[in-house]
Amino acid sequence: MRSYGSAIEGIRMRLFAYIAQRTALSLISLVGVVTFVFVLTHLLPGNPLLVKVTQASPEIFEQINRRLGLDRPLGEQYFDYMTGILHGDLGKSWVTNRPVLTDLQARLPASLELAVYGTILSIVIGLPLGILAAVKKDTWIDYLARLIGALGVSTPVFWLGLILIYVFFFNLGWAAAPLGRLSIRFSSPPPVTGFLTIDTLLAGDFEAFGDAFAHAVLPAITLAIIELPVILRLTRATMIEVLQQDYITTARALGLPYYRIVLKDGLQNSLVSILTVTGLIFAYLVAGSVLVERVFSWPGVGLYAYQSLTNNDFAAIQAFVMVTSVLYISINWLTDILYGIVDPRIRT
Amino acid sequence: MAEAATPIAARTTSLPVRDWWRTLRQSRSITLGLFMLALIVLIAVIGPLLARYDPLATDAALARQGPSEEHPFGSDASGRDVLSRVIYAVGLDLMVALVVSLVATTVGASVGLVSGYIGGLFDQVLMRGVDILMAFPGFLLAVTVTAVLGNNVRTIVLALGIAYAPVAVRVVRAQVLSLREAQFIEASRAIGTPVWEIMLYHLLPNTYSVLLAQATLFMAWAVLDIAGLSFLGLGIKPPTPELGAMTADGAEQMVSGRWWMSVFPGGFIMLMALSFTLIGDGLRDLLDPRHRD
Repeated sequence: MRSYGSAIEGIRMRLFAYIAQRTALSLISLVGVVTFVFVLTHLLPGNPLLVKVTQASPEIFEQINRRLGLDRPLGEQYFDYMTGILHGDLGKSWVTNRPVLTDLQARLPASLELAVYGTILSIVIGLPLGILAAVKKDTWIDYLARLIGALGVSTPVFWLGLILIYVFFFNLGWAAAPLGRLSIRFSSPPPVTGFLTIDTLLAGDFEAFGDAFAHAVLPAITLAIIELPVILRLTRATMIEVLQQDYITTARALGLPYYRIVLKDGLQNSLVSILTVTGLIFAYLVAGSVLVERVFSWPGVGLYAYQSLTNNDFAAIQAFVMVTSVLYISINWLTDILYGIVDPRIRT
Repeated sequence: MAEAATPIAARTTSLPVRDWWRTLRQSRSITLGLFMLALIVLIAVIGPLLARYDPLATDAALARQGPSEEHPFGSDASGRDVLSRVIYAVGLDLMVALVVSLVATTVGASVGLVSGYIGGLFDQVLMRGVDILMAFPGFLLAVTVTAVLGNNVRTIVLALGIAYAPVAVRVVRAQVLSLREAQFIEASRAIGTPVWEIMLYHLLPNTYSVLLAQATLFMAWAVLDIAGLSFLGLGIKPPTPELGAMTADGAEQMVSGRWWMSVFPGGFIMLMALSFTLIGDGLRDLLDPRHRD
């Protein structure tokens, strides 16, 4: 008689080992990314960013070089850079004269607001549509869904945003002007979540809420329209694969109603992959929002990155790339772990 | 010993290569995509000969005018004819995207081939490097590289090539891993075929179909990313006609209702990306071993 205790022990140990392995890999990736950013900005001959800024005279170049500590040996610079990061020091923006980390923290809620609403919207629409397309494979519904999928993936996000502005702001006057989060005549509510749409409600300022909503609606919809096809295609593909499995056929043979099988077994087994992608999408939205925030002048992390690029704000660009990569790696790590917990087959 | 003739590559592709045209036509996606692509290539090649205006010629008097008979796509803020600019821009974007796709595919395939076949520690280390590269969202990676290295076609190609190559590495490596233990490879090894010959003549040809599908998708991504970079001012700069840059130029005008300066260039970005997406998706579906017909 086999002892099941040891088998369960085995699974638990494998889970631990799996988590340890993924964590180690993520840390390696983190170090790699940070080093890569360092190399990119420090190692290049003539330091292009600096050259651009100090085109006037070599003396100014030398001065700034010395002030930023860029004439020290690379090893020393790298060491300082790494220790700085561990202490949360990501450098100072020479535009705002504040630590970059502070700048980023101030802008993060704005980007999060768009990312959250966009993701929710795209899941709410994309998931059911994907399931429907999988169930009704090769019917007109499926072809329509696939067309939407292909179209959505091919649409330039900045173009879509501009068109939405034209239709809903200029023509219909339903949305607010693409000039940020709140009209000037309104003052910001006391920050609770950082989401203006929530904070205005919490403060009871309904007029401001309406204004915040009118400003947020177009960029959120733009993001949603761009991400929806990704979720749709993935859900459809995963569901199709799951529905072809034998246990689905068995369930049907046992007489269970098809729609219940789809919703219960089919969905459960597709959920994991969908979760993974949702995590990635979310990370992408926060980071890749550069284009959308530029179009709508939305004061988030993306716009900050764009402004830093135009101003050649050395430290800011560096920090931005690093922070977004860290975010990406962390979310990947989290979804890998969740995946491993939910699906034991992964942890070979 | 008789001279060794060029080794006949054993084919295990699931795609019936002989009647490839008929197979392609069976996919509605590919047919539509190819049709669109043909039109786009036509515009890119013949367009410049038929364009009525010099894409760089400015005429302040004609600025900001809507679509009309003389200017079917209207004129932009500097008085240039949008249609002529779009025609030239399509060609430019197509070319740059092609180069990006070729670079990413070649580099990625080489790395994936070697890494997958040699295996061991070499493979593990290389895959960690690939993971690190994939830790950046591709577009952001390209943004960083172009910001630091400057905006010209060369840095764009480098940046996007680096961003996409890891995907090709994984695709090819997966294929190589599954073929590595196949009997015909074992046979080649047994008769003493040198490693590079095995890789080049036996493994590589069997990756062509997946590579083609991936390369097509790279084209779609490249078109979108090049336009995105240029929209941010990091890619190809005005006055060179480029679809993303033109969209950016027209962006300020959108708010005042002058839609044609952004809508037309952006629309063509979408059409180009769509054609490649349709073809790439269709190819990928055809190659799916789980595909039941």
